[in-house]
Order: sequence, then C-alpha cells, then structure tokens
Amino acid sequence: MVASAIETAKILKNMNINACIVNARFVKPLDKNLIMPLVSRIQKVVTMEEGTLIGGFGSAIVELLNDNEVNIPVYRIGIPDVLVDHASPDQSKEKLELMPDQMADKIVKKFKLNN
Amino acid sequence: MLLSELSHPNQLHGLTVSQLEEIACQIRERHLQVVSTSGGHLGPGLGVVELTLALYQTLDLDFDKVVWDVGHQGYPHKLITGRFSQFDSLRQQNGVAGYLKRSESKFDHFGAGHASTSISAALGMAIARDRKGENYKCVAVIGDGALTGGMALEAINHAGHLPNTPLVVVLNDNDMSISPPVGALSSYLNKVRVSPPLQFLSDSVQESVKNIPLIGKDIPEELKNIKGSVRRLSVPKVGAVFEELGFTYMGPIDGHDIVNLVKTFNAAHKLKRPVLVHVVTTKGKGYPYAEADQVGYHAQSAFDLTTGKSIPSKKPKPISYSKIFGQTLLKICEQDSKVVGITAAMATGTGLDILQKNIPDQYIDVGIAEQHAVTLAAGMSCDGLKPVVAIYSTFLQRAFDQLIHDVGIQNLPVSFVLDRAGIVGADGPTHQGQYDISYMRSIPNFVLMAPKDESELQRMLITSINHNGPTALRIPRGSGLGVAVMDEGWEPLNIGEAEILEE
Repeated sequence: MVASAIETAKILKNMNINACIVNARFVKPLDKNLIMPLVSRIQKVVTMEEGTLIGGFGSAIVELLNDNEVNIPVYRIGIPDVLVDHASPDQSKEKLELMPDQMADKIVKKFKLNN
Repeated sequence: MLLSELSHPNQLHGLTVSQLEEIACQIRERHLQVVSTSGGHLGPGLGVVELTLALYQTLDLDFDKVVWDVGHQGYPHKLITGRFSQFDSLRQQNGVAGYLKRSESKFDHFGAGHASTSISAALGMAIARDRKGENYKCVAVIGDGALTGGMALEAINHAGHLPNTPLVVVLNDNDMSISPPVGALSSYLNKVRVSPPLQFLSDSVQESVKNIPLIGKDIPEELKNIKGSVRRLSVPKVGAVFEELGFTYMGPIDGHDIVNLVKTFNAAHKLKRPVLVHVVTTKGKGYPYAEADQVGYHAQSAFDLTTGKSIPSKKPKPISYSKIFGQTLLKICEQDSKVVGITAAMATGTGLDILQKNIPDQYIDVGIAEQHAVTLAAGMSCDGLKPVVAIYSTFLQRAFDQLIHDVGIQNLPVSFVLDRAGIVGADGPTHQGQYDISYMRSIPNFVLMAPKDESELQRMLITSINHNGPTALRIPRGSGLGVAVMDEGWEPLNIGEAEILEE
C-alpha cells in the first residue's frame, strides 16, 4: 500500500495539497514517537491498508490517538465489512475504491480540501 | 447427448457407458479450452471427470447432497450443473467462481476454498437429515492431500462413531497435494493403492462375504459378528485403518472406469452407514502435459493448448515477493544452520521450493496442516531452532489458537511470513488475505510488520529471525516493485521504527 500512497500523494500534489507520507512498517508496535508529533502538527490523518478495516491498521491508529487523548479526525481507507469477490486484483481495488486516483478523490472530499 | 444441452445432472441418468464417456470427453475439451484461456485449476478437475459422472449416476441431485472438498476439482460438476455456457467467464469479475459457492448454484451444497472441511460439512448434513426423518444421501468428496488436514481426521473420528448415520466419503486419491503429499497417511495410501482391490462381486458387502469360501452362505446369526473380521482377513491390510475407525472401506477402484465406479457407489449407498470409497485417479487425466507435470498444472495461468506452455505476459514483470523471500531465506539458511523453513503443502507458492531443493535438511513440509505447522515451529523454537513458517495469510487463519496459545502466550521466537496478504484476485472471498492485520494485532507479544518493497522485505526477514519473540511479516501477492535487492548484508530494522518518506 506504500506505493499506492506515494501515487496518491502525487495526485494530491498536482492539486496543491501536500501530504506527509509515513511508511509505518510496524503495525505492532506502532511508532508512537514518530506518529504523535506529526499528527498534532498536521491535524489530518489518513490511514491506508490492504486489509479489513475492522480491527486493522487504521483502527490501531485511532486507538493510539484516543488512548493519548488526541481528538483528531482519522480517515481510514481499506476494505470495509464486505466480501471481496473473484476478479483481477485491480478490478477488486477499483470496486473498493483503493486505486490512487480514487483514494485522492476520497481524501479531498473527506477533508473538504477542494476550496 | 451434448454437454451444452445439459442443464440438470439428473439428465445423465440412464445414459449408456459410451454416452457417458462421450460426455466425459466434452467436459475435458471445455475444461481445457477455458482454463487455457483464462487460467485456473486444471489437474484436479481433469482427474475427477469420470468420478463426477459416475457418482451423479447414482444420485438424485434434486435431493441428494455432495460436498466437494476445496472445490477446485469442481469444474466438471459446474459443467453438468447448468454453467456450461457461462464457463468462459471462469474466475473473472462477475463470472463463474473458481470454487463452489452456495450462492452460485443450488447444486453447490457447500462452499469452500480451503481444504479438509468436506467430511465435517457432509456429516452435519447427514445428522440434520436424520433428525428430520428424511433419507437423502450425503456424500463428501475429498482428496488425499486434504486428508492430511487434521479437520478431516476429526470428522472421520466422529462419523466412524455413528454407525447408523449413512454417509459416503469418496477419497479421490491422486497421490498429490499441490505438491506431492507428505506423511505417514500418504505412505499408507500408497501401500493400499497398489494392493489388489477388494472385489465387489455383487451389490453389498453382505453379498460379497457370501463369496468367500466356507464363510459365505447360511451363516448362523451368532457368527455374523465375525464376518467383518474374516472379510478383513481375506484382504489383509487393505483399508484396515478406515475399517478400524468405523468405516466400511471399498476400494481401491480405478477412478477412470465408469462401470466400476457406478457399481461401487451404488453398493456404498446401500450400506446405510459410514462408507469410504477409495478411488484412484490421475491428476490431469486426458491432457498429457498435465499428467506429466502434476505440480505445474495444478493451477495454471493462460497457456497454449498444443504446446502446454504458458503464454508469456506482454511486459516483463519484476520478480515476485515470494521468490525474493525464498531466495533471501535460502541465503540466511546457508549462513545459519538453526534456521528452518516450514510450509504447509505450498512449497512453490510460498517460494520455499528453492530451500527444499538446495538445503532439504532445513526445510519441512507438514502437508495441509497449518495448525500443526505452527505448534511444531513453537516446539522447535523451544529447543534452539529458528523456524520461519511461510503460510498464506488466508491459510494462517486456520491456526489462530496455535498462534495465541502456543506461540504468543509463551513468547516464543517463531517468524511467520504471511504471503498473499491483501487482495488476491481470481480466487475470491475464501482466499483474500484481508484479515491478518486484525487477527494478528490482538495476539500478545507479536510484532507485526509489512514491507514497502522487496528490499525492505529482506530487512524485515532478518529482523524477524534476529528478534527474540514472535513476529509476523505480511507480504503481498505477485510482483515486487522491481527495486534492487541484496545478496547479503541486510541491515535489520529497529523493532517499531517507522520512516517518513515525504514531509
């Protein structure tokens, strides 16, 4: 998903939206020392994972912020609570809106960045 | 009759053997034509064409139920249950699924994708049937590879204890998992396979006993109990393991001989008790390339029918994550004899085949037995080995308690490499590697990581093996990004350290 995140950031950049990209590497333990100051500074968080959202990486970030009394919106991108049927991987990702252009679009809408 | 005109398997009833053989021929043609174009499982389906046709001759598919283990050998079933015309959409978006699905057809009685579940499901159906006071037949068809999965043995253990619950288990014995099968059970089946078959001179075991000299006719009631043991004596060893477990064993029979298959299945149904029919099939039957290379043609990407060779993709792709993992592990194993790679019947898929080939002493294939693989590794790590367990994300789900109870709670240094994490494509919902982050996160002591590219995969692998505790490394299906990898000198990461790629 890191490669897709880089692609997504490029698309956002073309729209004059800057994104800081963190390669989390570890879902557990999370790099609290790196993540917390960034979150406080930027105030908008997007998590991306090719996995189910329930209890996933995004959930881990939400838990981290919540447990540290940080109330900042987190937009979790991943697989919702649905079955992913047979198709080519790209077709599945498109249906789940996990392609970079779709993710860029969703991020812009979520945080109302288009004005 | 034309296969294309078949919409209900009961239409096969009453066909002559030569008509059925003609249908078998058409099934193979269509099977090969579609899989060579769209890719999919080849060998398993080709091996059970006659088995499917013969079994369905003896069943009323409006009532009787068949559970196909895994479902990857279900293409002949699909072709005679109304999916002939859509079959070229196999494994494609909105097309026919690569496995059986209850939502796809009323003839798909139980969905699957993972191995070893069929006997449990069929026994459940049989128990429900008896509770309702009905009398339809319940049949499980399971491969010899899937029989290495503990769950299949749990189900046999249960069914064998229910002598009044009619259940037919068809053992489709092709002497293969995806790779050659491993273990004592497989050696046993090998011995049985070459034994002379138990003769079914007439329709039931009762009848066949009559044909044994001096024992058969007019047996006094009080001697009936010993008939079973005499029958076993008359055919030493054949199927004795299954008989001891409470099943009536029939076989081994030639899985490509329709006449004998029909006769034996009919005999099995009449017994009204747990029966195991041992059918010997050839994986890839009817397509010489697939018969010759049963590992390579288990499942295939698109290929040229006349040469059997894969059609190369248009642009060259970077080497896959699995291969990079396998090559890196091989290098690590060369330097450290304590490191051992473990697979559950997926040497090629996980990339461990290169380790198997080069250092077989540091490689273990446990068969389709994920739970065992995990606890085995836990035990090995207690006594100084450094096990690296390579199991697809979707299959490691099967060993969740072993991850918690045997590895996590005891904080043992076992490295797990979860291949095919994320979206997997044509295999569909049963195979998506979408749950591992959720299920691994909750387990105490585990470190869970995912690399950004194949070079970081190498660093994470050495980090895992060096770490004195359990780790899980999830890697995606398919090609890497094509970044440079190293032959040695990988720098371990600090556990829990993220990196900023762009400010």
